[in-house]
Amino acid sequence: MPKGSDIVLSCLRAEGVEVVFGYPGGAVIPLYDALKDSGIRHVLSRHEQGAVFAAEGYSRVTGKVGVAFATSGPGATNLITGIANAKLDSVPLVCITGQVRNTLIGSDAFQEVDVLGITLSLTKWSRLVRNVEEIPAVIAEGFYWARSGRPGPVVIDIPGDIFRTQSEFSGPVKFTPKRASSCCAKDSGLFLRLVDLLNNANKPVALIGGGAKASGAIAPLRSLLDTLQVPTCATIHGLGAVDFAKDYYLGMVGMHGTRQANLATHDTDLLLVFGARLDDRVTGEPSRFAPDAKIVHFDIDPAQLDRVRGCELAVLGDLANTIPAFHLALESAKLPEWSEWLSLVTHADRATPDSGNSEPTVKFLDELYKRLPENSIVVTDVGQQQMWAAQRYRSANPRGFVTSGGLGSMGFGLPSAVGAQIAKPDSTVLCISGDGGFQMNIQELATIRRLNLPVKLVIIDNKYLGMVRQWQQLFYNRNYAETDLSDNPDFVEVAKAYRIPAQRIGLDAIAGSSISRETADLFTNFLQSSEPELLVFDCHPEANVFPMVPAGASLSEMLTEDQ
Amino acid sequence: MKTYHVRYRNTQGTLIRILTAVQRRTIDLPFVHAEQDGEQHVVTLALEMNAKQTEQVCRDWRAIVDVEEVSISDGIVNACNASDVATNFVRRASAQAGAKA
Repeated sequence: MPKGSDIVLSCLRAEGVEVVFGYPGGAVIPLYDALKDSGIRHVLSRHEQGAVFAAEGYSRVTGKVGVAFATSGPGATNLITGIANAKLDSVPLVCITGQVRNTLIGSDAFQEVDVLGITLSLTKWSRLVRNVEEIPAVIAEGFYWARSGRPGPVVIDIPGDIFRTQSEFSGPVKFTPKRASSCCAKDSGLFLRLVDLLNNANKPVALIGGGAKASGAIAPLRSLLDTLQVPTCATIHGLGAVDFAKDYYLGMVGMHGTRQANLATHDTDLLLVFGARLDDRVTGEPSRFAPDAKIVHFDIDPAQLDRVRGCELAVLGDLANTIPAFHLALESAKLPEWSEWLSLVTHADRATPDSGNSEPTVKFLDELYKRLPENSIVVTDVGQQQMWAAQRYRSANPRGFVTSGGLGSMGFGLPSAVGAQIAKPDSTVLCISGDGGFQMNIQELATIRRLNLPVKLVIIDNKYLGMVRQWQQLFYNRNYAETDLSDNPDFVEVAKAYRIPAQRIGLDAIAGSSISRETADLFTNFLQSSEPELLVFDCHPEANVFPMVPAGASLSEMLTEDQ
Repeated sequence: MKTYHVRYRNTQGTLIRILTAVQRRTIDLPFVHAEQDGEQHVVTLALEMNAKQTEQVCRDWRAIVDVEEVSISDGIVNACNASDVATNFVRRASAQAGAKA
């Protein structure tokens, strides 16, 4: 007769789980004991936060549900940041945590915390399993909610004694919701109104968010944009949804968006939003966002509509359905020409100005990017390097840019790259971190070494907590309070201690109009190596990310390097 | 102040999720009453919210997996302080209980 742990793993297999990321502990020993015969691969992280970020990296590049295991108490609490990250970035994630045995729950037992309570505001759905018989139904429902509608994190907390309890098991079950997880706009009149809005628009703009990628609507979206031919920009999670080569594509919008994307979004009179929740990093001051625009908001999550700005028209439903329906409605419509508007907003170079202290870093990233094979994956940490990496990103791989956009969790990059590389063993995975964030999950170098994952690690090392320092420089009279990291360890030596080859290059290697053959070879060899490798780039300590929309300003009030 | 009725499946944490949608916006909860109603549960809340908050909170409630229905009652509770609101509801609940008896 199978035990609860066998039933858990059998149900995970039935949900299509091939890999889980985790860290063992007392309450989950029975679960780990059963792993060996389960057919599920377990990736041992060196910290539970590393495990949950790796699960997210895995999920983001595959679209599958990421799964993380952790023990009770501190194991579970170490997952919290990752769960919050998955919530804000709409990543399907199932965390299975061990709990103290049933009879001890509520007694403040060793390693007992109320995981369900702690995670209620961060999860889409959660359950404390109360008996072994309900395991199949709970896992089926958990996976259903993690995947369905707007994807998100789920926590399933299982007491240790339930893992050990034997039970009859007739196999995994399917979950059927009592209500649909999301509705789809079926009202044809809705799209007629939308066509009418387009016909009356002089300066339409399309804004693409991560929802377009999560819904798998990339092909119909690209087809729609080719028909519309309106200026188009993307949020950081929308990067890769639109081919950068398209004339109508203006790049990233928001606090560090391109000048063209921000100005077009500010000036538009009709903003078509596809799967973006319009957070303040995208809108600038919300009350001054697209002030003259009527907003049409396509989203699967009703909670996102009108959250920041009221919209003229809400198209609720899966973008994989609503975008084709909208496109169909356009077939019989004769749309105005917006070529003059398009020309106005795209006349200038779409790239961010490359002047000042940031120029060598931008050039360094460009040199790496242009040597990346097609379908490579770029994973970033959080901070200045994240914004430079996003600004320079040119790939049309919809799942090729992995970053912590909503929560902005430093320490995300390195473990997330582990998950991405495991999901895509034949792809080049380039992980771009800063010297601050790299140290937040530096222990995952051991995971990379243990599994010989050929992740290409880059540290943009400015010896500062760079983004905070930038704000201190610009808005706090250069009072660099506690952002000086000049006593960093020698990252090359640290990597070598993990038996990972590493080297450092300085600003001089990137100086001049073109890089030397030696530097070019270094970049090529770095990216083509079958081993993990670290490249530390000495960035100017006071390099800043521009353009920048200061807090409380509108998108039209960007600061630039020359100001 | 208006009264809001949220009908939900009484699964683990659902009531807390409903309340959290209000509290995270630092909106006071002067009156909350939850009870079983057939196979479901209903929580009634008296809340002072502006139109935008009402839209957002109701949408957050509807996004909770086990919430079945959200409605706003026609009647507006005029009382301005929590104790009056609570008294009002207690009286109403008592009257209903008396009527059933």
